[in-house]
Amino acid sequence: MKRIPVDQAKPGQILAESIARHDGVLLANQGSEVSEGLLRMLVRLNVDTIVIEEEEGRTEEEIRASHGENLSRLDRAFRRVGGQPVLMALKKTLAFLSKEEMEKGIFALRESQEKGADEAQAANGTQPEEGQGEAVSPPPKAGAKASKRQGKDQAKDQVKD
Amino acid sequence: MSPDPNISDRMQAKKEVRRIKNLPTVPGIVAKISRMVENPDTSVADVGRLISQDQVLSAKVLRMANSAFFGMSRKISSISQALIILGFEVVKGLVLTSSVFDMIQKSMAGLWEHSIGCAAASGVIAAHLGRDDAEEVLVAGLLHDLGKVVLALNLPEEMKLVQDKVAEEDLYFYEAENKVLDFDHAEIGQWLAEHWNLPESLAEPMRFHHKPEKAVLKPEWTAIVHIADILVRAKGFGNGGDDMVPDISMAAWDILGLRKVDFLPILEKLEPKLSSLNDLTALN
Ligand SMILES: [Fe+2]
Ligand SMILES: [Fe+2]
Repeated sequence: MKRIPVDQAKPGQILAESIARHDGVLLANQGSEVSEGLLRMLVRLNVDTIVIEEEEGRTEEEIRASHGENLSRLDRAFRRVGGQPVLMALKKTLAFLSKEEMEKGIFALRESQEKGADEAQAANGTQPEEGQGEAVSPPPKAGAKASKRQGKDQAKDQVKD
Repeated sequence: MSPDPNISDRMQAKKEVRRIKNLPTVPGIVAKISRMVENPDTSVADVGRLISQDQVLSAKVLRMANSAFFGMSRKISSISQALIILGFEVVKGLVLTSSVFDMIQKSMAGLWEHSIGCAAASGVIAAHLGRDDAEEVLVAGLLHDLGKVVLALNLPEEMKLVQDKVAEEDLYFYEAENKVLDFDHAEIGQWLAEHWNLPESLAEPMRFHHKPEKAVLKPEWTAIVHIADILVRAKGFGNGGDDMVPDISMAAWDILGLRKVDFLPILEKLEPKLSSLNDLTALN
């Protein structure tokens, strides 16, 4: 879990700790999902930070699989209207959005993995100097960077077509 | 529509629904508001006071007023404020929705989610089209499937037959209704709207959201709710009784002047609303 400022919280995140008002009245339970309504309330009540669960912990395979599930669900949902051009455009748009979400998810995952690698390195006592430290960096970091860049380029290409 | 050889059965079923006892009575508060409004001396503040007297109801109305539906930047903290900001018709619609909320929840798993999803989509489409009545159209989306609630609660055996038929023959819910009953939730919605004296702005989308080309008084609202119903089903949000995207009425599509490229911005605006609507799923 990690503590984050309320203005960085996003709907859908899971609360790792319950939130109570200053006088002790419970506002939201541990384990519940952050909603827009809750965030507005927290801002109003001047609550500064909340504690959320770290990344959902989905692997890249899981992110890809859920995109696959979305596509099969779309096939099922549109099974009676396959010949309707407007509805096919709707289906295509939904498939595109699902793919975009998958790409964002994978990108964020790789980024957090890279950050994790950097932190581990810092803990080991190595100076994580950007740029000039490149030559002395151990292979894992360089590898993570490369894959991140690749992910970014891939995402761009895919959105284009 | 398939011709039903057994007309007397159909009449019988129709009578059954029409029997006043079988149609739910109009929620007391809604009847009171309607009576009050008939009196020319009634002010908006009077209506506000009446609604505020029921604290449970008011709390529900305010939760909806402050939900992602309307995307208010400031919190609406009282009914009188809601009346000023959202307008009388919208607040009346939210009062009606709040008073039938328990019924909707009891009727069919996922129907409340389908309803709030369709409401959000109606609002997004109307706003995308630059309409200034987006909030009111949203309320029409919220109540469009009220006929299903009456079917589930007042004709539970028939409801079961309809659901079985949907599963066995892979039909749309309204197709199965027409096979089993020879009428569907859209017609039930119409009867209910008459019985409850609902305004045409709610009644017509209820009656014609599956045949929007038939709407005459509120053709654009009905068309928006029709498209919104398609969007929530396509998104797989909630449960409208079957898992398929209904066919689209091109008349509805054309009357709104929508184009295929409009789907992307509409869906992008809809997505965050849908994901933050879960604080409305348990309105109690
Ligand atoms: Fe319907
Ligand atoms: Fe519907």
